[in-house]
Amino acid sequence: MKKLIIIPAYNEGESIYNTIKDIEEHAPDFDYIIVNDCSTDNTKEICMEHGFHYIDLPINQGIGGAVQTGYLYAAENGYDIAVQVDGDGQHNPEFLEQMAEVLQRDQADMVIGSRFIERKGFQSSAARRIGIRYFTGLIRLMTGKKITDPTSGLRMAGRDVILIFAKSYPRDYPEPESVVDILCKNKKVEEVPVLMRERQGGISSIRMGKSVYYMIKVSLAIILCRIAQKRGGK
Amino acid sequence: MSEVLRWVLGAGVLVYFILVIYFLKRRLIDLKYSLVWLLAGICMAVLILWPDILYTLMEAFGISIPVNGLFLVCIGFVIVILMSLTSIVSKQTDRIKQLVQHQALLEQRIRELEKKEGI
Repeated sequence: MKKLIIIPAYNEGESIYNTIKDIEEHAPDFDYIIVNDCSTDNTKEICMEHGFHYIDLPINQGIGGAVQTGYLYAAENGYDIAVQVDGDGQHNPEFLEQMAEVLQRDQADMVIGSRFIERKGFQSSAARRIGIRYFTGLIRLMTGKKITDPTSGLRMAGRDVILIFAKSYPRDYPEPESVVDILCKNKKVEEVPVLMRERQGGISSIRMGKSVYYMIKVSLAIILCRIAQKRGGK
Repeated sequence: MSEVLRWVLGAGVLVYFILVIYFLKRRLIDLKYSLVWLLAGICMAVLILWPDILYTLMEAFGISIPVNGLFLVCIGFVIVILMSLTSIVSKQTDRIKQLVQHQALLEQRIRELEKKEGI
């Protein structure tokens, strides 16, 4: 069973070294690939210096395009499982083995690491939690499935989902939308409780001014996906 | 619509056609994308050459000044052209993304190979 960790990295020079060391220590069964999304800091230099495995995007593609590059790599190199781990140290690689077990045991297509099942560890700000709860509600309304943490970047995909994502993946703010895509294709999505840490460096890709755009765009995408599925089902 | 306005509009449409054909000849716009431009020009030409069509239509819609109807048609075409532009841009963005991703994957493969071969 070939397992890959996809690490999208945009200006993660401060934390990428620790992230990789963490992975090498706690998830030794996994290969990893860093996708450097045209960082303007020294992310690439750090990768070269330490001989990390990395893909270097020549033009900035945003988080969606970077993650998709990872899925393309997984598809081309015959990986059975691919898991997305953020480069900023928020995600704890100790949970990866457990997620892979759940994926195989329950024959799920996707396993999401959720902060909100056991409500432990870093819980994000109150405003963000309201946003996340709204997405949970909307996804439940549209697909009937409860996803407690649809914005979680820590997500593991089986071979089927790797191929779907390699073909099409949302451009920006891809997390909730891609979960709905998968649910609309009648794939099985499971959640496991995880602990997340506060980011160790860099800045979050979601800033205040953009949150309104984020809410509207993702809501529209979720609803559109549902409409497209209904039409396709007829 | 006064006779003078018709002449002015007619001249405008003529210049428009000359411009579109000039762009097409110099291959500055793709024939595929120019179809909607040509269609818009033909519609305008027809309405100016035979204003009776315009008058009948405007009466049916209850627009009292025919030239307003002409503007409505113009705005309609502009919206259609803008939508087609957005769709072209979206498609191109997607293609550029695919290109960038494949280029990056190839670059990574070459790098790994070079490392293995010790180049």
